[in-house]
Amino acid sequence: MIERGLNVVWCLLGLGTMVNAWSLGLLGPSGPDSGLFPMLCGIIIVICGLTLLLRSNTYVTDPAWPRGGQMWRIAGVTAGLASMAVSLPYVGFAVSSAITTFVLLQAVERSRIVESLILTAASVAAVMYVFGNLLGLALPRGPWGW
Amino acid sequence: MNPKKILSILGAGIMALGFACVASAQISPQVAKLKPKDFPTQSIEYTVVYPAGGALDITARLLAKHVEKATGDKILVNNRTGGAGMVGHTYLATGAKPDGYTVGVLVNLVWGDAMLRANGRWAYTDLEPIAYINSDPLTWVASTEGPYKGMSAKQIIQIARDKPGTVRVAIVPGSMWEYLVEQVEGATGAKFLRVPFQGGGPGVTALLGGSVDVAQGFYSEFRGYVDANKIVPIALASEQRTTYLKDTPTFNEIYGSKQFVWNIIRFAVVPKGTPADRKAYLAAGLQAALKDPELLAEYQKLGMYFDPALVKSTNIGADLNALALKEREFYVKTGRLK
Amino acid sequence: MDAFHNLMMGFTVIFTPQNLWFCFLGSVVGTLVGVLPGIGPLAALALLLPVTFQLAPVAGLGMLTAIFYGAMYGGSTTSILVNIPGEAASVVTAIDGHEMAKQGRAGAALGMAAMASFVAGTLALIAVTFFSPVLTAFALRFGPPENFGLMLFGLVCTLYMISGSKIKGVLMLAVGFLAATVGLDVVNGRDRFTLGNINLAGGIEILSVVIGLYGVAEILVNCETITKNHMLAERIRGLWPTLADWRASWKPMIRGSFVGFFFGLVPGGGPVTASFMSYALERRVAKDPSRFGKGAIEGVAGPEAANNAAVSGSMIPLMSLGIPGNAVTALLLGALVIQGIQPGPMFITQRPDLFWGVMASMYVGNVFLLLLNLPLAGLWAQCLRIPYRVLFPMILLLSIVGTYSANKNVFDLWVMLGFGVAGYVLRKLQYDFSPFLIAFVLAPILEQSLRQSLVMSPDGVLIFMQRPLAAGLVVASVILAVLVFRQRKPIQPQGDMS
Repeated sequence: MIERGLNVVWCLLGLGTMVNAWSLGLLGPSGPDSGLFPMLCGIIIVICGLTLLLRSNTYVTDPAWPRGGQMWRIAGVTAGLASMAVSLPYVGFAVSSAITTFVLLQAVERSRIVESLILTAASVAAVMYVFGNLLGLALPRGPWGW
Repeated sequence: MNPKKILSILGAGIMALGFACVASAQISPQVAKLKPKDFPTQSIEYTVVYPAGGALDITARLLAKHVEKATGDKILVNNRTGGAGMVGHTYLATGAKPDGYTVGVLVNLVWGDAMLRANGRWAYTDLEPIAYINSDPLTWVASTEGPYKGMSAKQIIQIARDKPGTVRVAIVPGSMWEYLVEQVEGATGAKFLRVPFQGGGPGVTALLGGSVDVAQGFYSEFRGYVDANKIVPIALASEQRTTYLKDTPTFNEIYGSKQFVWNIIRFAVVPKGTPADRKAYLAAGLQAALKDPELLAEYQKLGMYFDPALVKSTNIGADLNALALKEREFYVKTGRLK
Repeated sequence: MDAFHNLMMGFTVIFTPQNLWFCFLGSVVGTLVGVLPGIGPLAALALLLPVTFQLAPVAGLGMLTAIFYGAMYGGSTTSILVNIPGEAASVVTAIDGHEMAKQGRAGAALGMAAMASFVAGTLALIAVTFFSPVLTAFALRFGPPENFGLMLFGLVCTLYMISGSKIKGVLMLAVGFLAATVGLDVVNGRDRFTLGNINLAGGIEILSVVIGLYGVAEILVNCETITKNHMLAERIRGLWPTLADWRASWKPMIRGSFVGFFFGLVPGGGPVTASFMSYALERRVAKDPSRFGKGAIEGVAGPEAANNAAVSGSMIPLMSLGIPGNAVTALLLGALVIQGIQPGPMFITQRPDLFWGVMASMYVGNVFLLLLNLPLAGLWAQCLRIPYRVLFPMILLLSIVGTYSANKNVFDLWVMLGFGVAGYVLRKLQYDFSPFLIAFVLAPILEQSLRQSLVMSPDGVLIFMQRPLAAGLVVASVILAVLVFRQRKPIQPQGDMS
C-alpha cells in the first residue's frame, strides 16, 4: 500500500518537475538553459516511477512497518526533533535542546524520569560548554539571554 | 625539555583553544563615554553573510579583533551563509533582534539583493549603516600568456568589437561582474562570450588555466598572481586609480565616461530599530578600531582600498544610501527594475 | 634531491615543541570532529579559525590542516560503529564497515581504517613533496570541459555502486540530481525550485542531507528494536585486523590512495567524491562483487585511503597556486591570508619555511593520528557497550548542533528532519541512498561545467573532443556506461578497467 503510494508520488514528482522545468526554458542561445537538466531528471523519475508502479516484482515483499509501540517511539523521536526546530529561535538553545533531549529519552525508553533528567542536563551542558564556550559558536539565545 | 616549559606550552595550547581572552587594557575614552549602562552584558555577534575564509570574513575578523581591543567587549564572528548572501541578508533585515547584539558586516551586493531578489520582503533601508570599512574596485585582468598577451583593455575590447563573440570573459551572473560587461558592451559595441562562474576567484583560476581570456576580480584576491607575473590588471571600474594599481587605467579614463563604477564596499550595519544609544556606542567602537593604524596596516597589507570620500564621510548612512540609489538608477535604466 | 633537502628543512621548522604540540592538538581535535556526527571539518575549521590569530603561521596552519585530515581518520569510527557517518566522506565506509561491526569485527574495521588513512596520507604526501610542480600544471589544465568529463565519469561509476534494484538506484540518482538543482542557477542567477522560500535560494545544505538520510533515519530504524541492551548483540571478536584482512586490503589501499589523490588534486573533486569512486572501483575489480555490502574489508580500506589522500591532494593547488578546490581549502586559504601571507604561485619560493614546514607537519600529524587511532580502535569498539538509549540522544543533539553550525539557519534542521523521515520510509522499501548522495555532490559541477563549456566554445559540443583530456574522460564514461548496461547479471570482473 505504502509502496504503491510512494510510486505514485514519484510519478507526480517527476511530472511536476517536468512542468516546472518547461517553464524555466530548456534551451538557450548557447546550449542548455536552466530547465534542461531538471527536465531530464523529471523524465527519468517518471519512467522509473511508472516502472516501479506497474511491475509487481519490484515491490518489497512484506516490508517491516512499525507497529503499536514502535510507531509511538518513532513518532516521539520525530516530534522531539520537530519541536526543537520550532522552539529554537524563540526559547534559545539551552531550553529547546533540554526539552527535546528529555522527550527523546522518554519516547524511546520509558526509563525513570530522574535518570532522564540527569542525562538531559549532562548532555545539554556538555554540548553547550564545548560548542558555546570552547568553540565560540553563537548558539541561539532565549529572551532571557541564554 | 624541562617540565616547566612543557607546562607553559600546554597552557598556551589550552588558552588558544579556549576563546581568545580579551585584553581590556586601553579602552579609548571616546568609546567609554558613549557606553550605555546596560550594554553590552553578553557577547556581540558580527554576522558575516559569506563563508569563513573569504575576503569579507577576513575583513570582519580583523575588525572584530580590533574592536575588542578598543572597547573591551567580547565579539563573536558568525557566518550565516547561503544563497550567495541572500540568507544572511534576510536574517539581518527581518530575523535579527534590533537589540544591539547583532551587527552585520556586509558588502554593497546587499543592495542588489534587496532591490531585485527580496520581492518586497525587506528593503536595504531595513539595515542602518554604522561604519564604512573598506573597498575593492572591480578590476579586469588578463593573462600574461596566450593571444591577448600584452594588450591593453582598449585593444582587447576592440577585438571583441571587430570579432564579436570571440573574447571570453568570466562573469558572476546577476551581479556587478555581469553589469560591468554589459556597460562596456553598451558603450563600445563590443560583444563578449560571458562565461559564468560562482564567484570572482574561480574566474581568475579559469584565466590562469586559459579557459577564459579576461577575468574580473579584486586586487586583494589576485595580487599573488600579479606578483608572480601570471596575470596583469588591465582596467579598473572605479572613479580614480588606486594606490595599489597606479599604472592601471580606469574604464572611465579610457572611454571618457563616468558610468563605470563598480566597487565592492564593505560596511557595518545594525538592524533598523536598534536603540540610538547602543547604535552610537557600536559605531564609536568601530570608528576607534578603524582609526587604529595597526588595523589599517593589516587591511593595506591585504590590498584593500579605502575610498577617501567614504572615509571622510560624517553621515555614512546617507552617503551609502545615495550610492544605493545610484545603483537603483542602473537597474531601472536596464529594465531590471520598474 | 632538492625536494628531499627542502623537506628536511621543513622538519627542522616543525620540530619545535610548540609546533609539534599544535600539530598534535589538531590531530586530536580532528579525530573528535570526525567522530562526532554533524560537526564536520568545515564547521570545526570555521570555529577554530580565530584561534590561529595568536599563533605563528606554521603552528596555526599545521593545526588547521591536521584537523582536516584528522577528521578523515575519525569519521570512519562513527560510520563503522553506529552506521552514522561522522562526516560526509565516511558515508561509504559505513556500508561494509558497519556490516563488519555487526559481525563483531568492529576492531578490525577500525584498525584497517586507521591504517588505510595512514598509508594513503603518507603516500599522497610523498607525491606532493616530489611532484608538486608537475601536478600543479596538470591541475591547471582542468577547465570546465575537463571537469565535465570527470563528473560524467564519476556519475557513470556510481552505476556500479547500486545495490539491490537497478530501477530504484537510477531513480535515486535522478532525484539526487534534482535535489542538487534547487537554488540559484549559477549560470544565469535565476531561482530554481525554491518554492518562493529564501532559505532554499542557497540550495539544500549537504550536511542536512547526510545527517538526515543516514543519521536520523538510522536512529528511527533503531528505535523500533531498542531493548535495554547495547547496540550489538554480537560479541566483539578480535580488536585487530587479521593477516587475511591485510592480504585483502593492501591493494585497495594503494588503489584508493591514487584515486583519492587524483580527486583531491582536480577542482570539483574532494574527499567525498574520492571515497565513493574508490568504493565503486573496488567493487568493479573485486573477484566476487557480491561480498560488498556484507562486510568486505576492501570496502573500508579503499574509501578510507581515498578520503585521506584527497586531503593531501587538495593541498597542491592550494599551496602552489592559491586555488582552493573546495570549501575547506578555501578556509585554509583564508587562514593564510589572515596571517598576512599571500598565497599564490610565489608562495613556495617566498616562504619555503612555511610551505615545507606545513608539509613536514602533515607527515608528523599522520604519525600522530595513527598512534592515536590504532589504540583507540579497541577503545571505541568498547563504546558499543554503552546502552543505545544513552548514546542516541547525544548523537541526535550533536547532529542538531552540527547541522545548525554550518549555516546558523534553523531551516536546515527542518531539511534534516525531512530527509530523516523520507530516509526511514525509503529504507524500509529497500532503496539505496548512495546514488542519491553522489548525484547530489556531482550534479552541480556537472551541470555548471557543461554549460560553461558550451558558452565558451565557438563550436558547441565539439569542445569536448578538441581537448584531449576532456575527450578521454568522455569516451571512457561512454564505454563504461555501455558496459554497465550490457551486463544485466551481477558484474563480473573483466580485466582491469581502472
